[in-house]
Amino acid sequence: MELQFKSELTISESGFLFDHSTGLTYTLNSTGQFIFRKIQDKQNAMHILNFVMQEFDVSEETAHKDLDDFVRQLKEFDLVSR
Amino acid sequence: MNLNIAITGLHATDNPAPGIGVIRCLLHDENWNGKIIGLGYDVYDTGIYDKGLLDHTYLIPYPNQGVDQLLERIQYIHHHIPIDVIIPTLDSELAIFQRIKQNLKDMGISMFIPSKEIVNKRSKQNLVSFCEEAKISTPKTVVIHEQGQFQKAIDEIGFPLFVKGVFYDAYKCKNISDTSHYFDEFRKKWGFPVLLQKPVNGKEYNVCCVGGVDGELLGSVSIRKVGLTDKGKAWSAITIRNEKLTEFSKKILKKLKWNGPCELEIMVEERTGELFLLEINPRFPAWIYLCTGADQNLPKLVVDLALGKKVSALPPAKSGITFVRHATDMVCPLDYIENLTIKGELHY
Amino acid sequence: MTEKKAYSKPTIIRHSVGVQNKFGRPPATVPINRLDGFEVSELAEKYGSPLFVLSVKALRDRYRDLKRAFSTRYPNFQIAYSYKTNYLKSVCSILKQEGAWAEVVSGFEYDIARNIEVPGNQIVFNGPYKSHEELTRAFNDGAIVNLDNYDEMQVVEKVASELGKTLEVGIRINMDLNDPPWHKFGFNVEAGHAFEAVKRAEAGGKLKVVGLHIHTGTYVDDVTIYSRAAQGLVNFYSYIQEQLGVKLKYWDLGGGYASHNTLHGAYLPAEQTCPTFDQYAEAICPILMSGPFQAQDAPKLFIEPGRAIIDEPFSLITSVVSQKRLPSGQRGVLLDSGMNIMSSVQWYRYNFQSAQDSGTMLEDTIVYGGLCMNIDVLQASSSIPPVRRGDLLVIPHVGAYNISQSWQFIYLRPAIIAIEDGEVYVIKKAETRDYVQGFEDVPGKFITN
Repeated sequence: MELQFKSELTISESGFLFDHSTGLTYTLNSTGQFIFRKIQDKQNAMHILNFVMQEFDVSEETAHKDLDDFVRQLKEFDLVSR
Repeated sequence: MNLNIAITGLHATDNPAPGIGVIRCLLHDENWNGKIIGLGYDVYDTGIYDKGLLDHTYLIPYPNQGVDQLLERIQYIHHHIPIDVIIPTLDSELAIFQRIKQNLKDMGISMFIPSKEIVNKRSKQNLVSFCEEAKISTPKTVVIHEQGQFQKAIDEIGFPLFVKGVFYDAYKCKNISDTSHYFDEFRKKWGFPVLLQKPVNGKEYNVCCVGGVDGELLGSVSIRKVGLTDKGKAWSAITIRNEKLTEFSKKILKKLKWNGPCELEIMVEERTGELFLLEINPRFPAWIYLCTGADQNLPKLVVDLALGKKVSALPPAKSGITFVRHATDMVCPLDYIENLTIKGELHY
Repeated sequence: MTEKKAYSKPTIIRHSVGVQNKFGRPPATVPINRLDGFEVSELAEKYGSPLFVLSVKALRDRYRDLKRAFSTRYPNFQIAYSYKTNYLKSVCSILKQEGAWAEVVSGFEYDIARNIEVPGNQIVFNGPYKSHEELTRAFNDGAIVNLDNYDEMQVVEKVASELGKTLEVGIRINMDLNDPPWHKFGFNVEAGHAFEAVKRAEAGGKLKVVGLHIHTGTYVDDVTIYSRAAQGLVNFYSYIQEQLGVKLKYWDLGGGYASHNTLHGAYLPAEQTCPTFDQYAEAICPILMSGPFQAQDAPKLFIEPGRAIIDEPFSLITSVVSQKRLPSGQRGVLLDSGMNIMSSVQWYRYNFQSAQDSGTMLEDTIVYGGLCMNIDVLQASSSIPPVRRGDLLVIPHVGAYNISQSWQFIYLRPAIIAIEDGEVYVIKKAETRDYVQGFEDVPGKFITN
């Protein structure tokens, strides 16, 4: 699954996200930021899942479900293409 | 002396909080040599963005989050930047600061605010009985605690009258149907009591005062409001010198033993020249910066009192000094919002 | 191999103006992972979720604090616990151990009290409807009975004739204390009805008025209402003493004392507005002591607290079943408990606290109950950290009304446990289908084809 951001987004070290096209701002926690940067690097969902499991102490089942939730939320906020 | 002073009430839109005025007074003092710490409630409290005034800003929890939350947050701030004095400037936060006064004292943070008992005496529902006891004139007022007293109160006051909520707002009514309407609105919104008050025909004056340890009047600036916004807030006023107002203020503070800042709203009746106390706001007014022009730096006085310094009464304020409130736009970079949102603090 | 980083659920929150600022550690970010020494997760695993948990120590502490506050200010004082707020046998038994009398409002509640061997003369029998049989039983037992209306007075006169003796009774009165005033119970003082009722009771020759009862309302956090009720009682007693020669053995200020739960619409949390027991006692006792009697003859003072002592000791452990995003962007969380066991959600803004450390990324969330009913919303807006299916939440202060008003609907009702001195006791087992259907019968003709 390809994930692509719809508009120009800037994320700071602190997890503060600014959407240049809408002016909306968001906060991401550390895991959220990690995934976000992988999407910016044009990684697909399968690869991102692997990166998460390499980086963090988490089971595949949990990581998978949480990643699904997170991506769904990005879509609901209209940040990535549906 | 190198002081770190924290001030609340930084939001200044069309009904401004007093915090920014208080800060400008402190900076106005020629011997000022300290740091100003803004305590904000929201990322978009406007005063936070006036970087020329503040050295640091921290967001603090709303009063409704409870004592523990506030104390924990102040401890955090104090750990990073030791605070010498806090000046709370909002009605709604006075109660919680009274509750933590001793805890702050133990941490080495001083305040100069009156006790809950003293502040309660001037609450809208208690003001009448305080004035009666202290022999201070106040407009005839009936405090209604239950529906059954409504008609009797109207008979007693007569028309026209003001219907007043126990916290905010007042409406002038000329007949029974308007009165019932606003009475019901207040009752539904805030519950009882609701107040009915006889209007006094005359001119209104406001006096910003600071009472000392035993309620002795140490400084006061009297004004007549010249321009009002559609919400009835002053956007322009002029200082006056009026012995009667000063004596009246002196008596009120002494009887209350008011130790701290306040704003008195006083009516002078046209026909008799008699002074009537309308209300006492338990904090500095939003127009407090005007006092520097009148050579009375009342916020500085409060800082000295909080630090337990011996202070004597200031010479009378200069009359004929005017303020005009003027809205201006400030421009800020995104990282202001980012820092306040993520960390809840901003260092300029 | 390098150490992996600690994981937390990836989260993104959209900002809005007036976003709640999180810089005071709101209660929701402080996890409750233990209850009276036991891991919440272990309790849920062993006894199921949802699960009501009673801290017996908290119950005894609340009771003792209340008793101390009043009995140090009034010489002849007795608590009668309001059974209707929670009449679990264990709760009633613990409070009986502590010295509480029973305040009951129906024959069923009366029976609960007698069943755990509360002596008849330690039961206060109130309520607007008491049957002839129930009244006869109560008077035979020597219970304290407060009369609500003239119809009841006539029934009690009949009971007096049947028993062949004069019966001592209390009269329930009400006053214009609140908005709207509580006029449902008893006879109104301002309208003169209360005086007429006392006069009528005495005039019949079969009853003797020895008590007055007033109940000021429910969740009354304004102690001045109690002061005015107390003053009203003093004035009324002085009047009936002077006019009718009535001498009271007791007066009863009813219940209504607030607990540490925040009502919907309240700005400040109950932690800041709920009066202490000392404040209530101080508002009531000195005024009552100004009544028409010498201190050594003070009528017995009853109060009938319910929620004020039973709310805090109970918590509910509940599980997250799912979460979803609403079209509005708001997060929804669905729990395995519903308003069928949490009826007080219509009055209270409960705290939903995570039982595990879920971080501090709070998000405004609508909390749904698990019933298949659109109205089953436990809170329309609550700040909750990120959670996932299976996570546990703890809702503190749920002891009053939720259990006695619970209804069996769609799901079976959960178990209730009590903890004291490091021991867990199941004080009510989780319901079973047999328990729910045990009284049903299906006639054979409905079954055959």
